[in-house]
Amino acid sequence: MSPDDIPELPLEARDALAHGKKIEGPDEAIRARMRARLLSALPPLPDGGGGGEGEPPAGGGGGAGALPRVPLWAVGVALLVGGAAGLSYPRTPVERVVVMPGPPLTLSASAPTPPVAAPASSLPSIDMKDLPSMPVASAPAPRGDDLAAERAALDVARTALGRGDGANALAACDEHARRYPRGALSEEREAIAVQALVLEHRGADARARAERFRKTHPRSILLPAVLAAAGIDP
Amino acid sequence: MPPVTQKNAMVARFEAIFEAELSYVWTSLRRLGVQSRDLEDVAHEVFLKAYENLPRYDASRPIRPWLFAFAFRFASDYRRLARHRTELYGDDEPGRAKEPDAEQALAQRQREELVALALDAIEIERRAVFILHEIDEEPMPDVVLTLGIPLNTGYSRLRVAREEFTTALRRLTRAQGELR
Repeated sequence: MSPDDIPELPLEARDALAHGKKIEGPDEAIRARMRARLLSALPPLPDGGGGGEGEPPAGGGGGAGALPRVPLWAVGVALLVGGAAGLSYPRTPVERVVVMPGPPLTLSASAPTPPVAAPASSLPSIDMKDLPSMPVASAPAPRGDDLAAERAALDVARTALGRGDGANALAACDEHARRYPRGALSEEREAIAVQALVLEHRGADARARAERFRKTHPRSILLPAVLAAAGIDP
Repeated sequence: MPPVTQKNAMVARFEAIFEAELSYVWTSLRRLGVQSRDLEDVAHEVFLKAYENLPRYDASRPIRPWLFAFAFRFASDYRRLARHRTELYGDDEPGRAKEPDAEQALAQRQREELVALALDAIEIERRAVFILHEIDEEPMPDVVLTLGIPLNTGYSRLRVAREEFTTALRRLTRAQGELR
């Protein structure tokens, strides 16, 4: 079968789909909660690439091959003690951790295999050293507490962006750039700054900064989002 | 144990992916039929699995299809639980961003609900092909690579999915018209 054998979608369906393409995520409160919960639960990476700092939280092992199931109470305790896994998030109070009405999900019982079932030959894997440039590539890798402090500084920008406050998001980005000119999260900072400029209706500045981002980080995973925010075709 | 600095780099990379793509994963899970109240938990599982597999991610390929594959697997498992059924993108969705213009928001919401309901009429494996190709605009070779299926199967699923979507859309639009 080829594309020619398939009838096109009729106009009405294409029209409807055009309205269904919007990508919308959760608000900043949920995002922050998820971030904290995830970082508390990161398991060690099998290839020695590293995991969350320190040991996984108690109860994190879900059996052979299963995802680590962190009991929600353990996440709550970890957050209460300031990030038992070593990565604390001082910026946003976690208002609610337990969010599962009804019976718990049982997804981990049949945790999916790596997503692509195609033959390995069609899925070239690469060595860690071949991965695109990371923010830390051009700077000495920070210690854990440095990274936490840098992240906290950037969270000010992120939170401002989340509430639509472009001016303060930009100010926080500038402050981050001043304190961490070669920081591990500078790539993320620039992505936030572009979005903040767009919020401030400074389209030309946003485009210029996005182009600089493209030049500096041509293989960044954030690049599509940065270009889209600035209205630049990839 | 790998040095702390190396772990930091991996965590920083993961954080960047989380920040950039949470909305995409969230939306994809919703399109794949995960109910609003479960989105946070299922998205959590998706990102944990993605983190586990991060060292094997081929960075020359786009990140979204890679993440979609995890979302699809988890959504498939989720859907196997009989208690999960279709629901509209209602106001109960936690943390859904508010639209500035209420009337415009209502119209947009209705259009989104129509698409969501029509999508739900498509069996999940065909729906995954349909979403990746018709909504995410991924070329079919990438779609089949993402889902690990033969090209012919991909096209076959797309053909049926298009028919199912169009039929459902017409039925829903008719029903909507009769209600007015």
